Amino acid sequence: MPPRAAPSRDLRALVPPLLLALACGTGPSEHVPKDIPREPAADPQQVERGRALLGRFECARCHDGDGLTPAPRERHCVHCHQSVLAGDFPAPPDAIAEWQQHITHLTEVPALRGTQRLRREFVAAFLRDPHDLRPRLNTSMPRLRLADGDAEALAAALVPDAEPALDGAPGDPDRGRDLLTRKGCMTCHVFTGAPALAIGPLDVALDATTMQRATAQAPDLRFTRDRLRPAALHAWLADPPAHKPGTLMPRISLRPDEVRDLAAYIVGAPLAAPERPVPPARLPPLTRPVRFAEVDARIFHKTCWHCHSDPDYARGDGGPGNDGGLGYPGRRLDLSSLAGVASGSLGPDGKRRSIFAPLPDGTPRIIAHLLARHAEVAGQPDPDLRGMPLALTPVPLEDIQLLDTWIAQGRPE
Amino acid sequence: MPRSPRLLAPLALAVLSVLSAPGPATACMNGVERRVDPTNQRIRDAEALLADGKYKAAVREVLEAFPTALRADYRDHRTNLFDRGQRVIALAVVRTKGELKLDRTLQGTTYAERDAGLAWATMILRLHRARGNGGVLLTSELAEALALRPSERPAARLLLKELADGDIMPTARGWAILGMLERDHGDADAAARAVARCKEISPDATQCDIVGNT
Repeated sequence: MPPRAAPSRDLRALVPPLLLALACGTGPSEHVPKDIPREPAADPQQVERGRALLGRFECARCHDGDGLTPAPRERHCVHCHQSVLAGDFPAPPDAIAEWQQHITHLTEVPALRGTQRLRREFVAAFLRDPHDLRPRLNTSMPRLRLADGDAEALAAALVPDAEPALDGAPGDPDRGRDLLTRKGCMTCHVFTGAPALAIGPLDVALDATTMQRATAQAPDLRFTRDRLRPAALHAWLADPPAHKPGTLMPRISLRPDEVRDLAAYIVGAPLAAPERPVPPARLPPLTRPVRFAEVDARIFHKTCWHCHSDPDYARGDGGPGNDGGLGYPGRRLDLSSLAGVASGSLGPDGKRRSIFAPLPDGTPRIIAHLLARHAEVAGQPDPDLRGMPLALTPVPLEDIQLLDTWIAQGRPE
Repeated sequence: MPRSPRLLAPLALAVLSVLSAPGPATACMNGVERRVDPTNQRIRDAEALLADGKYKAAVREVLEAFPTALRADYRDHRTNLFDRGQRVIALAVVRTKGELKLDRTLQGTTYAERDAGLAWATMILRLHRARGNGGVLLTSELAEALALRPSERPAARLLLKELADGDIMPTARGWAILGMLERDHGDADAAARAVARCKEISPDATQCDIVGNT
């Protein structure tokens, strides 16, 4: 048998990249980096409209930022909570001590500074469909009541300038992957879907409080390729505080070539498709008696009344869920008492309706809203039903079950 | 108190600034207000006393917070709490059928005084409702007052029936009163449904039996 001819040089040259392509990723690759056109400057009219919307949606009640008029403490959810936790809120010491035990949400919110590094398209999409950008933060961006064009206008206001070009040679993603570990990036960040990365020590010393805050606010690097403008990503990695004063992201010592390598991996790493959790199912009603006091302690007073208060006892402001706010019209829903709960809310037609009225599938309206929040967290928002509590951790299924039982039993006092 | 007029103005300004400046928790919802504002707590206490049937104590609590609460032509700058306090007094009068002593002219001892007291209470509740205050709860409270006057009972029934039909009756008491009014209207089935609903909600079924005693 004659000896086989050796493979031609051309074919052999194809082997390494072929092997590389076969080796990349552990599953279906979700995203292949592509050339995204640079964003031009935003339309000035859109910018102006967006700035007005920043006021209408009361973004400053949670976010601090450039161009935002700071909300006074009594209307700033985060500052109020931070002040209580710091112990300098003007209230009796025993009240402060009690409240400090209960505050778990709205203690950290990213500031809207340095937003020029973001891609306008991402910002608009995020506003239309908020998702879990910061997995270690228990509060998320609320679903706003946006009209057509509102998201684009808000994005224009936050990112008005044209996108600068990215100069320089592309980086080496392999070296970038190694840097993510060596520089300790994974101490704070997660990179969902990317091949597993070891957590190395952070290159910069941070005190425990700053570390905790930074970890809470660190975005999932999965979204960086869509979220940040390429040139801005490079500039950001080189010196974060220069682009966002007050940022919790420390300045890591990186050479220019290391910046390029790091960016190359972050935007180019193959990503496995995200998990799609199934929204949990409603639990069956309990068989034991349930009274209002129990439901009130577990749900209404624990969570709801912060936005659905009695305005008479809050100097006329019953919260966004009662008198309106955050762009929502006043629905006059007071969940601070049994009478308030029983009194229902205003529907879109301006008439009062029961929050227990069944939807077409028989689910009481309030139960449907609580379940919708679970669906939102699972990435399946219902366009016709806003999940409650807004932007917060869903009410546990067992608590929804309790409320369901109470309703089924006739809502006894 | 300084006699010199020149000192009065800055003093008045200082007093006004204290009274009018928003507190640190102006709109920080109920959880903060109840702890930092004693007037807030006092009116809440009055409402709790009213709910417990301690009508004299409830009225006393309101009048200590707002001595002018009996005046229909006056509103304190703390309008929300002032209105709530007035409603407590009005409901205390209604639930004692006018027998509560309010002041020299409304002592509740004679038929005329009791009727005057009830008229005052009804007027207050109508006034508040006309202002758009209180929502559904105020509607049911007004209906409770109207139900005591034979000429006003049809109006009371309609107010409560609307709440019942929308399943937004705020209290068990409202269902009980509706049951009574439906009975008087001649609709025994509707009366029975309303009383049954009252008993379903209220652990104290005797509250539902006021239907038979009124």
